Amino acid sequence: MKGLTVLSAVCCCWFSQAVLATEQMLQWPPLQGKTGFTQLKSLQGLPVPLRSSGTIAMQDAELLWHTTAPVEQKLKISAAGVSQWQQQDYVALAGSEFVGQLMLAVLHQDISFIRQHFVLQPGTTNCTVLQPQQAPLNQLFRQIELCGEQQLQQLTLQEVNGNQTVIALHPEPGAQ
Amino acid sequence: MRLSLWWLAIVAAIIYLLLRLPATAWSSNIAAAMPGLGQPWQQQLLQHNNSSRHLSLMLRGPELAPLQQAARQLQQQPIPHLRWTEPGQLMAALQQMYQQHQGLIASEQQRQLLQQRNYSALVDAAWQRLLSPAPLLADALLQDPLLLTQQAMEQQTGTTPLQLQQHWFELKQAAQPTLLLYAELDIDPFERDNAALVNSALEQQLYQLQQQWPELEIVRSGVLFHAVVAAANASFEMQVFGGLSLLAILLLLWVCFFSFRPLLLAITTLTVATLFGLTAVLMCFDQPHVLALVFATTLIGIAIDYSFHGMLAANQSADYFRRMLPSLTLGLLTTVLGYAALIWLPFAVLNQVAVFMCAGLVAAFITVQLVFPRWIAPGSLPGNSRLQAGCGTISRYYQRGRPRWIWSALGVSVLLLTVGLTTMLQFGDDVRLFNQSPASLLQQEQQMRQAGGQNWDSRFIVLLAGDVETLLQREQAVVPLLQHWQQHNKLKHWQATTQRLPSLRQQDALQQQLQQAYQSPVVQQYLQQLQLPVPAARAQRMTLQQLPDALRQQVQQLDTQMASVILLSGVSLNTNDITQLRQLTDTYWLDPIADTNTAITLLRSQLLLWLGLAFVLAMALLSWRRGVKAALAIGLLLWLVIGSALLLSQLLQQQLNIFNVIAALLILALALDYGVFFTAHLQHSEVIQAVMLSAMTSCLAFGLLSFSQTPAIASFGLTVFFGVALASMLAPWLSVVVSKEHS
Repeated sequence: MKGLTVLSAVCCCWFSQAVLATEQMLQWPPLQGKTGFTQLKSLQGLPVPLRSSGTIAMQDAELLWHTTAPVEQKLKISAAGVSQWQQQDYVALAGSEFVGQLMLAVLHQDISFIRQHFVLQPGTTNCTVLQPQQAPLNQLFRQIELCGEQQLQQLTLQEVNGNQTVIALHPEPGAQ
Repeated sequence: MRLSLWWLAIVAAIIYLLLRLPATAWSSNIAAAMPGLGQPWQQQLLQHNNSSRHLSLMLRGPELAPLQQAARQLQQQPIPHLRWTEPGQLMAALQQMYQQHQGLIASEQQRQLLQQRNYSALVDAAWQRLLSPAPLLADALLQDPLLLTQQAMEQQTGTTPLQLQQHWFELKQAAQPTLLLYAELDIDPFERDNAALVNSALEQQLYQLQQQWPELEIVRSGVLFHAVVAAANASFEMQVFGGLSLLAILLLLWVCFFSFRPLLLAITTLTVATLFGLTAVLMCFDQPHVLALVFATTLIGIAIDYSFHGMLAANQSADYFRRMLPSLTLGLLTTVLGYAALIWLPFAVLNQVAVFMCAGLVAAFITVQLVFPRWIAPGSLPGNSRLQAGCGTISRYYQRGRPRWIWSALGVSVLLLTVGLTTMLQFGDDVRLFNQSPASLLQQEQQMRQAGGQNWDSRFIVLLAGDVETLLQREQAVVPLLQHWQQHNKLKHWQATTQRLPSLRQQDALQQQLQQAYQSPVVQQYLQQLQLPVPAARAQRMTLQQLPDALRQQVQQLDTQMASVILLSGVSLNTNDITQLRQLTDTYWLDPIADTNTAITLLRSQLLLWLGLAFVLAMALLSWRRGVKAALAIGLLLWLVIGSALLLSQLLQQQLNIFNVIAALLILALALDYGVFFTAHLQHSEVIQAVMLSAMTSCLAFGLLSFSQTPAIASFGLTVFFGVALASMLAPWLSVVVSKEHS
């Protein structure tokens, strides 16, 4: 009985430490309000990376991804996926559900989602590397790197097929 | 010698049953038991249709995490014959397939833009997609720089509240997190034993989940749940109704004779009849239907009649027994002929009932004929003196009737009844009304539909062709019509193989159009901006074999041709729409329920014709054996009894169905027996006693069926009950008419 008590105390302690470690590695506060972004997309077969920029507006369960350059484009990212504005409504791209859930969790710093799907490792200075553990995320992404000091400043999505997307976040002038 | 042979036959039947029964697969599918559809390919297609093997579960609760935990726990514990569907895996397989065939698949809208040479719209869409943070297929830009296949793939699922997860779908219902789990069975849910096994294992796991998470709400949907309940109901009713009938008969025998010997004789007759009935069914049918067994419990009600007549006659004297035998033979002959007619009808359950009853009744007759005179010495059964006195009183009451009055009353009643029948009779042939699932299951199905789970209509479109390529081209010819219906809100969704697999002709055309597009200034500029070379035309083509298994199921190989099914939902098409569809080459509209209903209407008409023929045949036989007047009297009685039973049933049921007509055939057989005995030169009070006992047992057997949970069985039981009750009350006057007029 005593042994069991000790064992459960050890387990409990280990579990608490693991949660603490995860929380320490994800030290950034959730993104709020409107933030500017610059996206650099390196695609296989494309000699020069694609550069785009715009703003991200965070809402409760979704975010609005507004690209202003090089072309105007509005996307809605939610747990249902990445939705494009088509005619009168946002229409989700089939198969983009996991990406939508991932983006929301990362920007909202949803620790339970991240812990459930990724193994966390310390990366370079001020960076944490998220390695997907299970399908379908591990079929899409090799790893995701989150970097920033006080705030989350950069996300790097490395896809299994060799493509890479770097999203740099910066405060939007005049944004709340 | 004959008796020894009979015992030998009984032993052989027992051995056969012992060997065969454990290996028998009983079916409980009421739809499969209904008349088959016209075209052989349609039947083959419906047999292949495995939508009945799908089931879905909805888990609902206040918190998402426990729901996910419960779902994981459920899916991790294996259940025999059940496989959980992995929506995430299917999506991955689909993405992999598209990745390998980029530039060969495009949406309808993209093809139109290419045809119109509206390349700037395609370039704009490609830019939009390129700048989205969502990942792209590998080598997308090298093989398909306009990203047509990528975008076509992403447009394939419409707006749905369901969120795809790896092992299930998630949604919110009334602000509550909800999980939708799908599974597939590798057995027919109508195979009684296997279905019960799967259901019990699943229910046990669901019960455990419910215990673990009391707030968890579970909603079930699928044929399995309905089939298991139907089979359990049928089995329960068979045991209860059969058991109660048997108990009541034994009690009745005890009250009549105060002796164990009649009990033993009755049990022997019933056991032998059941033994031979079951043996004949198992010898003739590979997969007997449980519904046939429920109907066959009525054998008890008829076979016991032979016991009563045999017992009372053998107790009188050997001579009286011999004089009774021709009437018993005539009764058997008319009943067997009535049932035998059902063997030729295209209705599996009735065929099985007919075989069971014919074999059972012949066995009961042989047992009475061979065993009873040997086991009952004349005067050996003490009998119930009060009952005999009562029967004597009843007999005297009937004997007081005057033939002219009886004829007049018969004539007027028949006339009134005929008017009533022609003005009031109404039939309903909707197969869905014959079987009623429990309200709770129907409610759960409704909840599942509301949750937005994919529920395809029972109606669908079928295309036939000699090969896959022609089949896909025919599907493409239907697509404009489907889109037109969608635009006019006549159709909500549709799913065809061509949406995922274009025909080779279409793939060739797309490659040609793309090569033209790459040469246009707009696309050239786009390619230059991205510094991409112009891709070469692809030589490789996509085929049916490359589609994931789950997406190939809508194309089926039939005996001589291939069939493709287009699934539909939210259908509100009119006759003109269907006519328009049928004008397309080898394109068929299949509505199995409506087709079955039409087949039932046809079968009902055939049964009514059979009823008329059986009636005429019986009249001819009776005119020959009993004379024209007796035959006419029996004929009027039969008409009165059958017509009244149908009218009374209609008053209670609102409308009649095919099972009431089947009941009418049985009434004809039973009432004919009563007519035969009352017009024979036998002792009136003895016949009254035998008929009264047999009517009481029949009323009990059939009356109990009217309490069945299955409307089809209840309809049957109700009509036979009314018919037998009326026949037993009116038949004693027949002897008055015949004997008094004769004398």
